[in-house]
Amino acid sequence: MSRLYPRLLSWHAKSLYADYRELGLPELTARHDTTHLSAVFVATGGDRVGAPELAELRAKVVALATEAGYPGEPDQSARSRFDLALARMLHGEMGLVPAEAASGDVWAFLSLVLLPDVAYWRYPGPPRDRVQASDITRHVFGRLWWRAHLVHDPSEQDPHSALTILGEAAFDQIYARRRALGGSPYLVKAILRVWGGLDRGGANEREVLRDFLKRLLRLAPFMCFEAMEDRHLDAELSRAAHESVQAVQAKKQQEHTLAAV
Amino acid sequence: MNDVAWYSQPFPPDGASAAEGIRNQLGRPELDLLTVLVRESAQNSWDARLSDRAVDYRIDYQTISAAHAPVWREELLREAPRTEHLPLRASLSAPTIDILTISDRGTSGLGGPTRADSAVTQDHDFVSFVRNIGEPRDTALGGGTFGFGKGIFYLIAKSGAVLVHTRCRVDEGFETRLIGCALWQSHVKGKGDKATRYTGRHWWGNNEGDVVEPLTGPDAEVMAHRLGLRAFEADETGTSIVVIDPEFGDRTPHEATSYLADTILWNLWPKMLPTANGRPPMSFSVRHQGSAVVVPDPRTTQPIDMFVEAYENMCSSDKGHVLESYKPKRVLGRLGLEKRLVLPSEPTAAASGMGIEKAVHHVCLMRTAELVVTYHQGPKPSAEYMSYAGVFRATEDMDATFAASEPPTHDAWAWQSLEGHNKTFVKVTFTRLKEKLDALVAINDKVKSPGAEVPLGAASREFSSLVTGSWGIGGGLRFGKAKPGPVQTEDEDAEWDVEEHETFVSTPSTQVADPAADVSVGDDGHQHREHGVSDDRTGPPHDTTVHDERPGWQSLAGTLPAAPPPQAPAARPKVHYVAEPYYDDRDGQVVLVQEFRLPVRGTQQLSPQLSILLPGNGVRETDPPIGAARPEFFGWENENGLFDRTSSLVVSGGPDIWRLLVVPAPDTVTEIGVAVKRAEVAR
Repeated sequence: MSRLYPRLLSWHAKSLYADYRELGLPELTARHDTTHLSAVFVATGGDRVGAPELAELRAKVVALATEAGYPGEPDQSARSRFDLALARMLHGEMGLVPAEAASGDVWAFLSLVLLPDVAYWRYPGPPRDRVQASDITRHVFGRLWWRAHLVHDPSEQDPHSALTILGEAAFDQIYARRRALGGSPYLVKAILRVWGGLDRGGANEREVLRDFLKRLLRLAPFMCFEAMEDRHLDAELSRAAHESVQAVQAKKQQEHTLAAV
Repeated sequence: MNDVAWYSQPFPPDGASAAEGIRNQLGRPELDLLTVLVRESAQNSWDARLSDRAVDYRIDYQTISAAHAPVWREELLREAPRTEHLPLRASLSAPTIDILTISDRGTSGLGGPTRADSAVTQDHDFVSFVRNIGEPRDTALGGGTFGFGKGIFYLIAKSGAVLVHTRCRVDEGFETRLIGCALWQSHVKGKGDKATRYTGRHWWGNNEGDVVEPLTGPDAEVMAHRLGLRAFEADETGTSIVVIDPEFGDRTPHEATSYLADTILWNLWPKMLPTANGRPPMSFSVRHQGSAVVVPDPRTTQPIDMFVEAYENMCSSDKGHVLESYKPKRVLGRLGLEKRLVLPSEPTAAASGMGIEKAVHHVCLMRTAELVVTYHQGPKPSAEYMSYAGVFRATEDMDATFAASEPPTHDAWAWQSLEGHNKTFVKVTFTRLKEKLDALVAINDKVKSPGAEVPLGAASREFSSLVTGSWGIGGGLRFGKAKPGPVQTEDEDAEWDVEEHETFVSTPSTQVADPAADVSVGDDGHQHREHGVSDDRTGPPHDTTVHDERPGWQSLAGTLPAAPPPQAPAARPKVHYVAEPYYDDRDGQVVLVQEFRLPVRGTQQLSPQLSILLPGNGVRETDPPIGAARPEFFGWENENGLFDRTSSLVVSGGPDIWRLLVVPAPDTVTEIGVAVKRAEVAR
């Protein structure tokens, strides 16, 4: 069922963000709340979540965060584990539909009203877009929900299993080309499928992915990826990916030869 | 047998049709004569089909062998009219005698009485074909309606004469019949009181009685055998029309037979498709001097296969559309459509004769008989590689209405000639077709340009002096011309790879990109840019003094590096792109060719502008994949095909057409543009 979450409109988000800049982490924990005077819901589209449910959501997130070592300073791998767990949890349990999740105000409410402490634990002294959701693909929670949504495959035993294929930085490369490539869960899933089975032959992952996506960008103007069947799409993507691997390797080799000379 | 001779018809006292009148009855068909021949004769064959078997339709072109030619000259010249009255003598006296035989088997043959005054109203095929003109058809839902179609046989006979060789059922079994018919022009024989006027119609046959009768039975079979005509089996019926000395226009006989095979495909393909019993209703073959000319299979030949698909869609209950008129409410017919991505290809001669162009966007119209009436041209899809084909078949109830709207050649539905409801029905059919086709073409084909098309030139002019480090005069020079949205670069990377993002820093020593550069997106997906002044990406560096002859800019640009000497305003060089780019090959290399003109006179410098387009509105690739192909400049050509391989070319403008040759990057959208600026004159 589709759930509607309270929305914190952008000017309120902005002023809260300004207020929080002066506050310490314990004070943020104290200021968390399940409601905000200015929060609004959209008129139609589902059932509104109540305060108890929000409290429950908060409890779950805080539990995950604590497990990861917050409010201490967990290391890089603990942070990514936390992100993955949070992505699964948010996407699996919030009951958001994409239209609702596309609204930055929903995420602003979560990061500035319901879970300000967790948001600031994850990104201490965060830049604006991490908490105000001016760019959802950067938002501390929003980006995770969308990552989970793009890879979500209900036919799998673990619908979110593909989350682990690409790291955050790599996923950002897909997000960066969202207008052309990242907007389509179908294509993103296929990219992940192909990427998961790709033998990079030792070539740099980031470099290959960048090159791979560039090749897909070239194809996008005249190829309707969504209209292709899985196996055709996979074949097309594999071809591009192998070209990238070869190109990157050839470039490396050339650099080696040059360096030797 | 000695009585086999020609007989010329004199004008009876109560008048008759002159040959000219009959020859002109077909009117001036828009289709060429060979196509009309195929359509009319196949229609005759179809109307004469027997219910229990498929019609075998065949066209043979052959030269009479040396063994048979003397017989032709002996038999067919007996009492033949003089050459000025009928060219048959000339045709038969030529070194070789050529004939074109259009034959059908599995048809009823020309049966019935052989005299027009027999009061038989049921089966009178023979007199209808040989003697009478303009008899109504008696075949229900048949293809023909006028009975004028046979005129075409005479029109393509240079000799003016045809032989009719037929075998039909008669009361006591089967009968073979053979008669010659000629139709040329009315003439007068003799002088003064003895002069007689002749209608120009002639018959060759048994002259014993008061009218020329066909040779029948054994006489006909013997004569046919002596002439070398294809014999009939004992229980076979059908008709062969032998056109003596056929007219092919500019075509050689070989080309003509290929063309006949092709035009059979385009006009009769519905008859080649298997029906419910698994067999096609008609089979077609064409022969040239005895060897078979292939009649293409419609299911595997582009672009006819699209029509076949559309036909099947029409027949299927879920994919077919029913076209109706609402006032009065009647079902007009069924429509099937098929839309595909197809590489445009040159239409064959027969296809272009039917009005088909490189890309198919036509609906094949047919009546219940399923003979192609015409290919009705629909709206052109906006994408070059998008084609669609449709098939519309009128319902049985409407058959008479549509038949009435056809001209004698059955190649159009002209509602203008009808009255009352019939007029409405035919007219509404075309309206409904248009609605369906517009809807078909409209899907996903609309490209919207983002943003308002508000000229911002005046505003940018106001701000131009605020930009330091470069000079400019704003975009406000060309008013009144809406521009599409701004050309973006691949900016989505910027967020992540700022260090890699290309930035252009213009210094006063470089000419900046022309702010008034005109960007237009062609409907083929290629973008054309029109540059008044060289773009700073590709333009060679120029000397520091910048000359711009556009009037009025001095007062607008605050940060101008140096005041130019006053100069008379001159027209800025422009590029006019001619048509769409096309593929060609040069030295074995496939190149993309863009033709253009330089309408402004004077010496000017050209440089190619090549890039790869990415998704989005005019987003160009700035950072290609490693080692990936990019479009490469190949050369310039003028109308004489002269080559210039230097990428920066200095030429003078004029009406000539120039060509820019580019090696496109495979599997990309390659953008081609030509930048032009006034050539720097050496100082």
